Amino acid sequence: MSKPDVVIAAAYSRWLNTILETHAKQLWDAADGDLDDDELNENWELLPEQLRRRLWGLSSDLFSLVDNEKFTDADWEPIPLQELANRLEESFQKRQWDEVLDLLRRRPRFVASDHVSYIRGRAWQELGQHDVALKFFDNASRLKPGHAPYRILALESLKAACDWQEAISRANQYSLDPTSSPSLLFRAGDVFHAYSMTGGEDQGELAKRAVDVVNQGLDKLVHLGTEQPPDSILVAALVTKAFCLERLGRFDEALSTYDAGIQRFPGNPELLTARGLLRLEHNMGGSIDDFRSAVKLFARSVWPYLELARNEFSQHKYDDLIELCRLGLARANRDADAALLFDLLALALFEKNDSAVAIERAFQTAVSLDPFNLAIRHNYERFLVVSRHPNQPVSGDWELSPLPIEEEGRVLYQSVQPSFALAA
Amino acid sequence: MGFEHAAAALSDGQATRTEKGTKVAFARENQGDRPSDSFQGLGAGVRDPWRKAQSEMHLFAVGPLALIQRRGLWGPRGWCTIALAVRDTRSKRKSSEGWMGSDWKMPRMYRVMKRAEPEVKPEVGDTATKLGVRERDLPPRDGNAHPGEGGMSVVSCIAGFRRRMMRKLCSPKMVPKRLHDTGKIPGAIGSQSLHLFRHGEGSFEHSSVTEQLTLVPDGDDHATVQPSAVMVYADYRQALVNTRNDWVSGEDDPDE
Repeated sequence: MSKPDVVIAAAYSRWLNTILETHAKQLWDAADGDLDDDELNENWELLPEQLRRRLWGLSSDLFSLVDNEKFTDADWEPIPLQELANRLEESFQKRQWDEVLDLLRRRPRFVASDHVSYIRGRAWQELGQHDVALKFFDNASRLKPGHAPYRILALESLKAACDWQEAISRANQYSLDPTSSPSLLFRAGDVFHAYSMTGGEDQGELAKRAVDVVNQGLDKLVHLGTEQPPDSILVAALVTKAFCLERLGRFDEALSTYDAGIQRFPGNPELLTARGLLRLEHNMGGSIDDFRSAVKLFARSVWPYLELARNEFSQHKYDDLIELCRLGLARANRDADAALLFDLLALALFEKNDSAVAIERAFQTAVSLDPFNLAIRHNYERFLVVSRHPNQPVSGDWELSPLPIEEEGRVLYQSVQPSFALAA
Repeated sequence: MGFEHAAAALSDGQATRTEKGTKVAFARENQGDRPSDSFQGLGAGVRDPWRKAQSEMHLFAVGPLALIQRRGLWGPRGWCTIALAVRDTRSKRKSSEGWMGSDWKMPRMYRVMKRAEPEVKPEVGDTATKLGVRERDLPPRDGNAHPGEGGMSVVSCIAGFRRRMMRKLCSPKMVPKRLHDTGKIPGAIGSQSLHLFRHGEGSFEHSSVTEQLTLVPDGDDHATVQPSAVMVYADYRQALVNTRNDWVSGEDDPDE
């Protein structure tokens, strides 16, 4: 009988930690109690073969951190270089991380050692083990000192693992290092911002520190010969700065930051969306124009579509609204956002005297996606009443849900973060 | 070959058998507490099968009467002893023809165990990393150990150990880190007090390890050392312990 997943997960977690700790503290020189050995071994026997192989591989790979990696080439069938490269590429693209990790140990080892460490870090990151990924990113950084992307990836791993103490410590260290690149400073600034978002103490101080460190990076950009960061990292830095300024109540400065960003990257829909949200929340005007521009630029986030759709509803532009709902639904990652779009779609269909079946289906979908949204329920019930009494006028009796602007900002913030792959 | 020496060797074995049963005779054989003269291979405690066979032939073809006279084995206890010796020898011939051949070798097998400092011998105990068996590996039935129901785990060779470990046998903590350093088992992170021991030189196939123990391969590279026949569980454990002196370091052995 197979073991419950939770039992396997616990055994796997225990073994992962044991292997990491044994390597970190070089526990092989310590005496082990027999009982402990047997107990650990019982845990091992709970694991399926795939996880056992993964853990053995990890233990072997971790020796690369101290330049003591060993291979047993006799165990492998020889593979020509091209075939190995193809298989690695295929496994990487298909996200078959165990296969990638296995293939990296095989001859001919044509990938540079720092890059091998980076790929291992990526694999473990994708496997959800950020603490393991961190070790390999740090190792890549050791093998290629001063290469900012590896340090950035290590910071991202620390953030993902919620190791805030170490993340903040490194961010401070980078901000004090005159050789730190703008990219590294931008991501270091983001550490302060991300930590402040977790709801810890001194949020104001953290936001201020984030602004300072991002500004440090921006100042460096004007110097000749400074490494220019990828656009995605710069955009993310501007959003970080503007968000922190907004949290500090410095709305005008936040707006100026977006303005400067949009001037530099006029085709970036996320910056337009972020500025639109800022304007909307603080009644600055011009938000609809920002959303409209973002939609024209095929923004990745759902918010400009949703905001604009609501605006079109109030303007009785139902055909435009239906098109916006269609575009928005393709981008809605959360059920609650999709529910809002289906609700708007149902209202537009009703106002256009579309078929009752189509309207009801849209309402039902909205309710099923967000069963606790009272505004959607109200609209659906109104529709059911009207459909039973077709002669009763109901137009104007609809409710629109309040939009979670703060949540919109949070999700948007995530959407502008550079991907790990780009960072390296 | 001295007839008197043969007789003396037999009498040593007989004396212990009479008192404690067959297992004790083999305990003496393997613990190396026999006199280290040039005839130590004779009699029940012999290690070399060829010499063992020779000693048995002398015993039963040439000198039983002299033995009886010399060692004072007349009487009920003495006859019983002789009968036991004859039965043992016949059962060896019947159950394991190899024991009688000149090219017989104990099967070669490996096991990681804690090293009993300062000698290179395994520690004795009923854990996964000592010379012994856990009840979960061979559950006792009515206080007995039964063949075909498990036993002490061993593997065929270092490469087999590596292949096996990756899949099932044991964790990286159960193999000394030293074997990683030598490139034999990459990833090993076990305590340095562990040691890879080898036992025997023969083929890794279903065969006798000692009179009371049988190697039973159960798949690629792996086998269990099982009781050769139903026996008291404590006797089975003791039989394993009795092999202690035959385990030597296998860490410098070739891969396959």
